[in-house]
Amino acid sequence: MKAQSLNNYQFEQIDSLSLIEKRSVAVFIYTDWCRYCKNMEQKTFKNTEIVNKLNKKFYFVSLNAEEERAITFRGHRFQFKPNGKSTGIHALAEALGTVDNKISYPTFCILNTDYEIIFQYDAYLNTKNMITILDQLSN
Amino acid sequence: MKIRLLIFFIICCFSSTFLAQATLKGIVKADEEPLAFANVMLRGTTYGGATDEFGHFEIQAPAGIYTLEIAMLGYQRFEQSLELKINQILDLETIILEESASTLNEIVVTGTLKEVNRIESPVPVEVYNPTFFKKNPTPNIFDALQNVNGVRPQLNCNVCNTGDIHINGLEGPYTMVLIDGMPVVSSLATVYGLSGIPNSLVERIEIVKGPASSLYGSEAIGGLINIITKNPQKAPLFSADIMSTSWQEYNADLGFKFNISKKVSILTGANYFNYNNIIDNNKDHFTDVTLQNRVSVFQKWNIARKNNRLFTLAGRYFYEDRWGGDVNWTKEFRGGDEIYGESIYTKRWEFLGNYQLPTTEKLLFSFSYNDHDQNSVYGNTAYLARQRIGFGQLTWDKTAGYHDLLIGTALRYTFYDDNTPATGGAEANPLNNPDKIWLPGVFVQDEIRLNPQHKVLLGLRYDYNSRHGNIFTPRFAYKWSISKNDILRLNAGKGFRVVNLFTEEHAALTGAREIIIKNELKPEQSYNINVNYIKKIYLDNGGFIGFDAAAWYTYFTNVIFPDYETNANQIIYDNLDGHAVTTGMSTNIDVSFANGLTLLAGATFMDVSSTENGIKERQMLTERFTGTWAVSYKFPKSSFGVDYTGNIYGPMRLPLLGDLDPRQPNSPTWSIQNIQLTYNGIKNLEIYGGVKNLLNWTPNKGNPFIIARADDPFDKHVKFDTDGQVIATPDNPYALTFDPAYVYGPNQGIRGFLGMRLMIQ
Repeated sequence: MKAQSLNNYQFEQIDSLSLIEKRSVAVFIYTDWCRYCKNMEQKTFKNTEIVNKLNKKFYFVSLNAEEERAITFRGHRFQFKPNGKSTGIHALAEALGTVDNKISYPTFCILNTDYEIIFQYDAYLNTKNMITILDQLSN
Repeated sequence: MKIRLLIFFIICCFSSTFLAQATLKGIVKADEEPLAFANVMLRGTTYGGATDEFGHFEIQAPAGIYTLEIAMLGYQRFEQSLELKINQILDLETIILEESASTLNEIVVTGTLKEVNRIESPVPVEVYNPTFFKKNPTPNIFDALQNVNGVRPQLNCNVCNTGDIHINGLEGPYTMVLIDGMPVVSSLATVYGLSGIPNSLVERIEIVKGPASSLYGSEAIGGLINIITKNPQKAPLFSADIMSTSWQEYNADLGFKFNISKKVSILTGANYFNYNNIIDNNKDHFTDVTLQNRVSVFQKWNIARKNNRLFTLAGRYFYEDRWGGDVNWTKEFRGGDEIYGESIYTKRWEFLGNYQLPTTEKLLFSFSYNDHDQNSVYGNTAYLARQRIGFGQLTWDKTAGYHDLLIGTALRYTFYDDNTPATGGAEANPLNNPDKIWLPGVFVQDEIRLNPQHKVLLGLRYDYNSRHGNIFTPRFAYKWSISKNDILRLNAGKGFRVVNLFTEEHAALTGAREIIIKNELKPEQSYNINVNYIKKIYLDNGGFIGFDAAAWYTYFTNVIFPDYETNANQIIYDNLDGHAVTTGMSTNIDVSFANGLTLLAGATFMDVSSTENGIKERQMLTERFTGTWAVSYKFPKSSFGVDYTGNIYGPMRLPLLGDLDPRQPNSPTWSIQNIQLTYNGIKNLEIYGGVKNLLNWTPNKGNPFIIARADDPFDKHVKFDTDGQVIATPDNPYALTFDPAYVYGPNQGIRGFLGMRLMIQ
């Protein structure tokens, strides 16, 4: 069997996808410079079991917290908020990734089918823990 | 691992066409900050929504009696009963949510430990974060840089402890120091200014090794250090870092932020450093370390604007009183020739800002102004100087297809006046003939993405100097992403520097020697090429191995060369009639394992020399080899961590005063090593302590003395011949004059330190 690759959706697609099939949304918030994020991209999200679970039970979105493109999700328009010459944070990353009044990377966040945040974890996740989380939250 | 199950509704605006509706609106806040994405619901109904980014909500619902519920992650649920009447618009105004004392208090997060990383640009930029510098805590940026491979903070004077930053063997004036991208710390300020920047206001430090004049203009000839200050949004509500050492050095950093309105947030930082304990361990009757009393206050304003445009303003005030010299010196001897002391009062303020123009195109105006007032005496020689630097820059950032363009224009104004012959002036009123330089420039940079693997950067800058005329500086950079985890970069470019001798050459200030300037000095220029390779390996469970290697070659012309050797009483300045070269290789390895062990190590090999009339000579006070390391271990399932840091430097050629000088002509290989233990088991608090300079190494080891003729600092008993050369006498067997410039490392031996950090988010 050929190894499946992870389906990575855009936020804009979620609404219409939900009309076909309601699924939880798994959001991976990362930045380009975050090495633990890169590690998860190359290890955790390459694991066949995790890829299968995410592809079957979730809509997976990976969100660059420093993305400058405005994103429309659930009727809201989220924009990039600069806070320095070449630094800033995307409002959607801030909304989904803020834990304890601060945001750090990587943060993994799961929204249920009603778009409620049911899970946030703001540190590196290895394959074992990721599988546990996906199993518990895929309903 | 903790799984958090939290209910946080994101149900967006509900549109409805009911008649006889009422409207309910308000603003949800916590700590004066609007709360975006708070869930607002009328209990038991489907009427509700989420607040927008200003905390605002509006709900349309039929008339009736309801219970309003507002819920937000990390806050206590808000409930209120209310009645909505037909066609009523009920404005609840501000609703404050209280923070919940929930279990969301895990503080240490591997993800935020981004210690060293390199920005994904064709130009290799090294980025260091406060986490990195905390491994060996220091009171200021100058000392902190000792932990960076290829960067060496160098002390230039045994008495007043002035310093500069050497990058890859190049002396301080070749390094440009910027605050938030602006030339705030230049010329005069490089001598004492770096020790006045507290670590607490640093968000990150970016280091470019190699010339960057095409973007930054003069001074960025050998390298660039850009200090990015914290921004109010990301800063903690309150932070304090207090540290002391067994030498009775005390350092306190405080930071707090508040919002004066929902649009303006202000970050204030204050730093106080005090060292007033005379120590003379090397028994030369001179202070080993300069006594210092320093205060620095920083404030940064972030003003929210429409469409998230940027507007920040920042200011800093700095005052320092430092002195070193004979242990019996007191203020009443200041400037006299009885008891030797070097005493420097520095007053300085800075103002800087960034304003994005209200246009669709991304146009950014940056500006800075600083005023530096130095009142110093070196023995009985006074040096009074005033410097003002104004800077304005407009940049246009434009992305078009595969091109990412940066076009800019900059204007820099330097006002400089002192009581030395450089700026003329009669003796009665020495500060009266200021030197004013205008330096306008334009630059353009194009980053071209040829395909996902290949990027090219082309840059060109043109400056007009009111004294030296036209200056062109081109730059070329190429980045090849061989794979996701391998990057190769090639950079070539030119740098230039317009010189002000007196602000940079501390030896010229001490008054120990007469200054001779042979010819009209031309701007120095450098041509550089460097190659850089990065490899990253990701391990299971979050481990990481990073490796990089770089090689460089820089060729200097018009180098302004201080000649100390022709005459012991003079420093003769001239453009070198030849060239200087710095070439070398450096490598860094960065390893972190999932078990909590991290290792950072770097080594640099270099050869810095100048060639005149076919004769090549190694640069003084420059090592051929340096190494740095930091090993950290976080004990699993405990709140303890340990850091072992250190550096090692190969031998350097040292400035001797003549053939009879008994001091070693070369330094030995020397190393400074430190160990630290941290404990963060108490909420919001981190306690750290350890030992610095474990090997108890000081430069007086193996030398009869460090400061030449410390017992006769005014040269009262020195005899000279008719050519100005010192004659050896029974009282002065080595034919020396007073000279504190034989210095290459700190005089502080082993010492303990203890500190604590308090942080409230």
